[in-house]
Amino acid sequence: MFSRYSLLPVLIPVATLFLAGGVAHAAPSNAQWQAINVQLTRDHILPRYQTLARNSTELAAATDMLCQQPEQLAAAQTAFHNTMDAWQGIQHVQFGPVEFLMRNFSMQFWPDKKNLTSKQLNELLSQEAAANLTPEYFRGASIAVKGLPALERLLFSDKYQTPYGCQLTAAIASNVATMSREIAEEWESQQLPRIDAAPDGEDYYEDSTEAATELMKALVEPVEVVRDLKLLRPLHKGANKAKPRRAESWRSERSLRNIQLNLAALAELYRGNGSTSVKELLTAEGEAALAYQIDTHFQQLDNQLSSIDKTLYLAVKDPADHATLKQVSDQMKILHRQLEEAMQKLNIQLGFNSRDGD
Amino acid sequence: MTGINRRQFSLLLGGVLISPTLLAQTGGAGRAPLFASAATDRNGLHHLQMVAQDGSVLLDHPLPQRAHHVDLHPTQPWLAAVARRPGRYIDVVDYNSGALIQRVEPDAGRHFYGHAIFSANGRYLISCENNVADGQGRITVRDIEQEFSKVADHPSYGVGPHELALMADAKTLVVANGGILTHPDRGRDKLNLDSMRPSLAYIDLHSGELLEQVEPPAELHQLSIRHLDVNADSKVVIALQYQGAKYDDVPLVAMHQRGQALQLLRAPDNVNRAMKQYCGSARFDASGRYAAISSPRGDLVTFWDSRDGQYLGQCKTRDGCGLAATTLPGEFLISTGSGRLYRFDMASQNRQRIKLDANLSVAWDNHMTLV
Repeated sequence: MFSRYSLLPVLIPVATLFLAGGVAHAAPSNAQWQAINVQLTRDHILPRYQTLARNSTELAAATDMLCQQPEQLAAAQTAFHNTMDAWQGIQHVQFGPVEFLMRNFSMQFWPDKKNLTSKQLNELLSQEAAANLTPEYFRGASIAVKGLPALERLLFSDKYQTPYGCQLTAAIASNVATMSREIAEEWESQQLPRIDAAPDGEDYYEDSTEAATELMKALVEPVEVVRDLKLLRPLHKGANKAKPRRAESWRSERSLRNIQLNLAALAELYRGNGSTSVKELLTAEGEAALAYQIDTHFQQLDNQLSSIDKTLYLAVKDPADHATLKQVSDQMKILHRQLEEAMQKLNIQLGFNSRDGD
Repeated sequence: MTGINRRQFSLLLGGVLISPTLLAQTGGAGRAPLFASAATDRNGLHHLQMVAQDGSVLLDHPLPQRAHHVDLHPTQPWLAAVARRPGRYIDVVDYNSGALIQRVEPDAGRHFYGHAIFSANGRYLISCENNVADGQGRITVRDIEQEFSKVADHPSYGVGPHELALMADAKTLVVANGGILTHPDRGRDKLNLDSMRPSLAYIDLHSGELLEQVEPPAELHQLSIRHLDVNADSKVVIALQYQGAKYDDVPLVAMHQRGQALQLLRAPDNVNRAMKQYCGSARFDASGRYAAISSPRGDLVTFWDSRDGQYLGQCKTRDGCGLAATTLPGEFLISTGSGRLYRFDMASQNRQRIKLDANLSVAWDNHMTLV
């Protein structure tokens, strides 16, 4: 027969597992999270979606105008920038109404590794079919041609300059405005009530901590995503090997601005702007140093990105700027790790099987 | 919610569900075992735990690294916790005494993939392994009566063998070759996404002969076949994971019966999208007719009829991954990464949270086993 030997302390009382680490602070209560959830939803998320709805509605009007007055291109481009500003400022929220109907991909199909947006736009432009300009068409259209990257290609090249090209631009802008208004409305009419009702535990959320987990995912995960997709992909293996066309929004020369807006949004989500915040909660847990470090990273990252005086498209090819951007990327990695540590201190489980399954 | 029609569902289940609840069945036996699972605590330490019907902890065995699947021995009071990729241990533990019966380690140049099972007669421990030098999957058979020494070492007929199961004949293995090449030096990096070829392989346990093998169609070669379960009719249900572009919308569930083509299944569009290209666990219910598939990234579990591949409904469960059939037809346990446990009844669509020991603040790992 096989050997049989026993291990010593196999039946450790589970409670003792959690006593390591000095002074015990109780994890934040459901009530504390509820206050933060409500504040962040009302003061951070809703206003940002409302700005997106407003700016994209103005963009739709500006592209309509462009078809009548071709000299209005600069105004349409400005309206595009305002819309992209608003989108970059709320892109970190990947739950709720933006998840329905593929809206997140439809707003911004990117990265586009197979260059589908250009291919499919060219097809639409060569067909010149009136049927492809209707809202009905765009409801079922490919995600590659119904959002902001398609608009960017049209508005920042000469493709819009045919009458049909301009009509297509206006139709896409109208689709973006419709999606944006729907998301803003549904956040107010559906998602806010769900968050308000979380303490009852009978509806969408089982408790306020569960709702907070979604908000905290929106704080932590984008740091890694932005770093990987928007910085490391174009930086590639060095200034002489950089891939500028992998930058987001390079055609409209706003790649760095996007990253700064993403980080500014995360900083606001972290610092709050009212009576309570994630930062304060972390401080109250006895983690003042960590809370301060996270805050400082946001500040320093913004300063570093502001110090770059050219577009990301050019900066990745410049040895000095490449080095600066590599530092930014390294600091974002530290920020991400510290935010994950903060979540552990706050007893927020961002996702175990969903984030690291097998 | 796109839950299925409740009445229709009750009809589907027919007269099967006239049984009392599990609680009533077990009466006062609150300390009787309910399930076992690998878990990770708040300090990042890993455990094999067994929980009683009343939610109390019956076994807490420390593990050296994160584990994946836990298998129950058919006759002995033993649990086997299998290290996840690219780990190098299987702890076989007596859940009554807490004693470690054996720590099984792979040969040099090998590692485990997170899944191993006991043979139906309980004599063998059968594990999926990676032969690192050539990246080929291996199925290793160890004889428990010979101190867990290796008695057979078969090819898995693919790369990255993940979950395996024995068919009803107790001698045919079905193996999910995930197709993804990894190397311990590169951690969990996926090294061959452009050329991966997942497959489902049927292998003779004793001779190692390949009896049958099916693959997804070429255009879906990035659809990794990872988790599976088998019912008494030898029908295999498969949970898939897609490695292609994140906006693709592909089938995420499959069924297979030997001699037939692989049957790829899609949930209704919204649900299929909501599954986020990733399924984590597959289990048949007690009747063997209904299957549950967890999608932890989409925070939901979907239910399927194995007779015709029909999608039946879903249950929202945040970070839910571990699944186990209870003894009642149409009823499953679901465990989550946030440490929760639910009982879900397909007929009533009622999801009931099972209270666990308040001190039990752990993340339940991908798979659970009814004890």
